[in-house]
Amino acid sequence: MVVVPISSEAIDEATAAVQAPVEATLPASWRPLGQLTYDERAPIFQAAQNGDTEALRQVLWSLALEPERGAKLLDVPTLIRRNLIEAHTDPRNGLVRKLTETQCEMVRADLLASCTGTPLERLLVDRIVTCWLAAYLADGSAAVGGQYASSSAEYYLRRQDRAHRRFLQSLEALARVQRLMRPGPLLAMAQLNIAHAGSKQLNITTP
Amino acid sequence: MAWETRQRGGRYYTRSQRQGGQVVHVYVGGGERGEYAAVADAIAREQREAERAEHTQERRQRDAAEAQLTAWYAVVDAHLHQALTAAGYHHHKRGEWRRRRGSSTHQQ
Repeated sequence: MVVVPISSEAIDEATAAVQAPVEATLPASWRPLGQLTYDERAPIFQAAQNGDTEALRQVLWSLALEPERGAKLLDVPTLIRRNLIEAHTDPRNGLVRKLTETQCEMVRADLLASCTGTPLERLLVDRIVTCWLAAYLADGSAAVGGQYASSSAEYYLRRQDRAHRRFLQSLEALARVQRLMRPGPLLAMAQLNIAHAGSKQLNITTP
Repeated sequence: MAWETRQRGGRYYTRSQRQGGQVVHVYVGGGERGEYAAVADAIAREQREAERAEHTQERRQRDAAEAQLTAWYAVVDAHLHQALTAAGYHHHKRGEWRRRRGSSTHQQ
């Protein structure tokens, strides 16, 4: 997807148009973007990126209606995962695309369940899921790529190698953060008894 | 693949094939037989070209998606680096992360 910067004037104009109490003038064909399929949504996003004020107005209207859904639609790792799936699967096979997305969500949920849920951990989990997907798709491409000329087969194998390396490194990063950020003995202790006032004797009980 | 005109006259369709590292011309025939082979070869050539174009387009799309992942991967790495540095760790000789001396708190 080519991202074209939208001028601040266009954004101001569209924002003002959305904020103005002109609901009656909204085109009847508009539906919140979350209710549209990806294929219906993509051209609207593309037009908004190209500076089409009407499309931008629709995007901002939809984001104002459903901010959470809007945030999800504009979520970078989700967008990258969607682009990876689109690049590797047959556009006519919606089932495979949907199943792969669902599989990603399952892997993500599993990983998040083992985390304390800090923003950094969530970011690293998203990276793991995205790298896992890239490795999974690269495995499939490499298997099919063997039928092509040797230069193509090499290309697929190199990409598979890169994808696996990134996946392992992203796993390692999360493990490292969890190890380093785990509360140390002083913070994890359950009980601290001082023998008596002024004494230097400390009795520490750890869980 | 080409039509050749022999000295005796008449046009003959031949195919170029690689045999043992050498390109050889294989005689197919003239007349209807040659025409039929020429059309069949043209269709096969078009199919191969279409497949090649599709394959190139696929590769381009996959490369673009991978480039997005690579860029975002580096951004996450930068966030990770900043978070660990802020939490009192330093990257020891580009290897493991170690707690800086005097830093005893565990926080994010």
